[in-house]
Amino acid sequence: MRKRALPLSLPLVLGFGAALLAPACAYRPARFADARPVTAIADDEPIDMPQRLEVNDVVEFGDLFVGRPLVEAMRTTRPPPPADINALDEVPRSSWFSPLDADVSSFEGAYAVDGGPVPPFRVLLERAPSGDNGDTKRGGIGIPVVDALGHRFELRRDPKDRVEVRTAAAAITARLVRALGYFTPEVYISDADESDFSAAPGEPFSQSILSGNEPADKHLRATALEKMLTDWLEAAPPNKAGNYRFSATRWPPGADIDVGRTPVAGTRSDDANDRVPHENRRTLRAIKLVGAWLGMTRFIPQDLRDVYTGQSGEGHLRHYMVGLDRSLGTEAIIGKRPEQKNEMILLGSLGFAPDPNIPPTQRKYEAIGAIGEEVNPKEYGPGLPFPPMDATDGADAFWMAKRIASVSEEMVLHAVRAGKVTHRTARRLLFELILARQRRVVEWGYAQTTPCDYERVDERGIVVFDRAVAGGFTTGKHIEYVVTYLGLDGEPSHPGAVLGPEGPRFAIPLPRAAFDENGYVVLRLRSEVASVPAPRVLELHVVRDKQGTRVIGVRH
Amino acid sequence: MSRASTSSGSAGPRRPRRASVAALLAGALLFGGGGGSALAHPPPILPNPLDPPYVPPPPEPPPVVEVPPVQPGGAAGPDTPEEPDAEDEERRSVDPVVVTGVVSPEREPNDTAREIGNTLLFPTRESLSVLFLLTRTASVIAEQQQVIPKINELTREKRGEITIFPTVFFDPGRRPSIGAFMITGGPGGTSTAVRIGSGGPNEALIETRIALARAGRLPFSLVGETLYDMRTSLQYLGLGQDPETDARNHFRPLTRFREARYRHQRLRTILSGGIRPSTNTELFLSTSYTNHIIDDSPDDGGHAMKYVFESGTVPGGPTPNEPGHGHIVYSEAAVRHDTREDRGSPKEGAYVEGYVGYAAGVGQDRTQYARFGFRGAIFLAIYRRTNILSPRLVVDRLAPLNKEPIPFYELARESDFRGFHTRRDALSATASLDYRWGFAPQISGRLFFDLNSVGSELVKLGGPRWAVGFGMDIYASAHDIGAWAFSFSNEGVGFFLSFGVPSSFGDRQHRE
Repeated sequence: MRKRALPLSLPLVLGFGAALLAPACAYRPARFADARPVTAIADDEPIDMPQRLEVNDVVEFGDLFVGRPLVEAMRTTRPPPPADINALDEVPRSSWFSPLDADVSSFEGAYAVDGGPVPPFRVLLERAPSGDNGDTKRGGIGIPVVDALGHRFELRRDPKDRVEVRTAAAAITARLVRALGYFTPEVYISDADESDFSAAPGEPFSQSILSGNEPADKHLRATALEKMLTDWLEAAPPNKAGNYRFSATRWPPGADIDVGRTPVAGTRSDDANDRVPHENRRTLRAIKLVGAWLGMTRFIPQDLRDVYTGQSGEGHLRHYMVGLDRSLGTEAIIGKRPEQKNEMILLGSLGFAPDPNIPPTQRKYEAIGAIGEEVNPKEYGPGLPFPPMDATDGADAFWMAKRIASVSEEMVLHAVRAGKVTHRTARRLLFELILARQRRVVEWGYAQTTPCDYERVDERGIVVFDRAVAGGFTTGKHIEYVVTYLGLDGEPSHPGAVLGPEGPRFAIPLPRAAFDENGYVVLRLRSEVASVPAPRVLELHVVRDKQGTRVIGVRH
Repeated sequence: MSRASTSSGSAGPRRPRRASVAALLAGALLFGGGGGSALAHPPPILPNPLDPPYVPPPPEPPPVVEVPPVQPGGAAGPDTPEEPDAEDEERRSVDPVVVTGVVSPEREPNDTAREIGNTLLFPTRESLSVLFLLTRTASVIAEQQQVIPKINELTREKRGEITIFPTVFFDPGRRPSIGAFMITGGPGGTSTAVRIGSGGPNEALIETRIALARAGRLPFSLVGETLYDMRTSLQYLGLGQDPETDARNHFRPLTRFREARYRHQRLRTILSGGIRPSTNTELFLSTSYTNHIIDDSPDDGGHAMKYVFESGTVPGGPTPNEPGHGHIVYSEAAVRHDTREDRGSPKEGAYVEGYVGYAAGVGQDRTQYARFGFRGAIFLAIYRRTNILSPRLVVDRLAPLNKEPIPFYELARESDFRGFHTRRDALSATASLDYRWGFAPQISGRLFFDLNSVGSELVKLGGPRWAVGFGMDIYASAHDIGAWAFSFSNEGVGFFLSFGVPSSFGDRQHRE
């Protein structure tokens, strides 16, 4: 028997559908668990040692330039928020991020585990991946060596016409990036004469990074080793004393084993501790500001590497930032790549647009790369597409700006000294440049959101601290803060307020009527500097019950 | 109803009236003192502070602690008891849900629409994603090309397991083709590869390769490969630069068509070997056996050769009763000198290649000819090292060694010409001027101007055809990955797209 359709009119169906969808289309704030914030990510559980992961350039570039953009263009949902942050909008300590919490006097002790290289050095026939930029003719490819203490180092030279520029950058940046909280290898400036090096084939080394392509024939090995050493020595002339200056990167660190590249997106399938897709890690998203600060013109995915730390079967992965010899404008000098070029202008001008932002110092002082005081993090881009940076948002920028701001002048000074730049004026300029760029990057980072941090709850309400005001970035400008109170349904639970405090620290009132029946309120604070609202709000999730009033969630 | 977004300034709630604040705050606005600097920024730089002895700069206010000093979850309030000691202990977790503390995520008003769109795009997106994400630890694609590794490539790549790489090709006059290229890396410099592709019905390609490449004292490569492909709707206009007026072409009377179309099936085996006696020089020896089948294109009835040309006047073409067959062995020796640091990016240098080959039919195929030619280019930097101007000249010549006509599919084509590939003859010469400029990492723009002419001999080269165009190239350190270009010529506008390893590398064994 033929069934008859129900006599439903189209408007009725549409109205019913709209009624069903209406709640789904409303704004609803996040809800936080009423728990203490996580202060450390337990990603150091024992795992089996994974295979070394290397990626073919052709395959990876095809994916970065074509595959991923195509796939992501068909993803219409919003980029997910970072998943490596705790309830307080901070990044807990993990195998990706681990601040030393050391002042300058104790920093070097915490940073330097193995210490500098000790001659003689035996050259190893293998890869030197911690800064390989393919620049064979100008010393860019390091030679791996084992020193007298049995430590593996990767030694890199300067270009002939830019003495100290690359080596100094490697040592300085390694310390500054470590001071931010990232893992970086130890880098030392050292020198040695030709007799300190041996190209004699030796026994395999426990930390060797082999490709599988190394020749087995003894004669071939000897020839290849000899050529590696000769090319490396000839990359730049020795100094007046006949010594060759180089940067020595301790890689892999300690007794760790290099297990290859850190994937730029997704997770490592062979690491059970790797739970957060890498493009969703704030630590990687925020590298944009690090790159801008330290002039990493050619930051590329290859600059992230993993090591296995611990005994086999009992260790875990740790994630390092390498390739730091391409920072502080060195690559811009060596590769003639302007620090912040505009690709569209270069395309439209058929490559004849003049290089922007090349400061005069780079022509006068060989030890300083093409790096200037002016920096605009918004325009900073990596050398290759880097998916985490595509997702960098204002909260990520604010977090990193705080980290960068926490690097003290003394720390910068310490790092610059570690670069062992011999020219006194160049040394001073380098120091000043880093500080000037620090201030600009921090200012930009603070401007990406309402730059207030939650401090505590007291009898007046919630005390917050405006870092932009404290840093003097808003001096002379009128500042107001717009406060709104929302329930978990997204509806205003109380009339808001406009605050006009003096100074960076102030209290936001917490009227009892603002809390819902479960004692939960979402407080949103947006700063307005000279009547220009901040692009993002500070959102505080507050709970009030018998135990008191407390903030259980913070988002910027 | 006001709505606010954490990510949008414009979507914020309506600004409350300031008048309501006074009553609300009632003297609780400010926390006295203003606090110290949150930013450990320095005062103006002291003159040359690095000069020993170092005098520390004036003390800065201490930076504000990153994590607020009061632990939430037990923050002090007027009626809050003292924090228990356990609250100060480290709390650890690896679960992202626990780490973030978010029980239910924020939802924006347009999230539902976004999710619906995302669901609709799921099949397409995930199909593409699988295609690309299947890429795994890699082998060296260079070793699958007719290129011998340089010594400095010795330790640059780790040989891995399996790589699957998608391929897309689009040439004017051809149907678009998509496919995949899979390489399996092996020990000792060996690798195997399989390529499949299709452009629709009667368009298929399957190819297998086994390669051995070593970068020892004398770098060398050995490659064995087999290919079967079928292409359809291929164009044949006749011999010469101006086929319609060339007396060697015998068009059927009473037909208005001057363009024949055919289907070409090939089964080909190639063995090749090469050495690199010096850093920039390569020597190649190769031999191939190819079985050709030429018949009418299934969907181009009126354009069949038998309707366009007099029967039997197209050497190698089909007769009214049966397809054309060819069985040809071709051997070649080539030398190449390339001073560029790599072949992918715009780099200075020079390139020259010369070759000589001999072809002979097998069985009833009595074809016999010699092939020789020259290819040269220089790459000059202008203004920047990555702005490269490169004039280039390519000459291909065939000379019959007996009285048998050379099959039309063996004739010289418009090598490296970026217009429409419709001409063929015993001699082809292409002159071109390219300008490439790197404008972003691994991407360069390209302008080009090509001239090509074909003829039975040098003095009979016809008036050249031209093509001018622009495009972009994507490249890895040593290899091209993809390219697109628009080409404008007196015959129309063409669009080229390639992504992946092309089927031909510019040598004669892999010619179309």
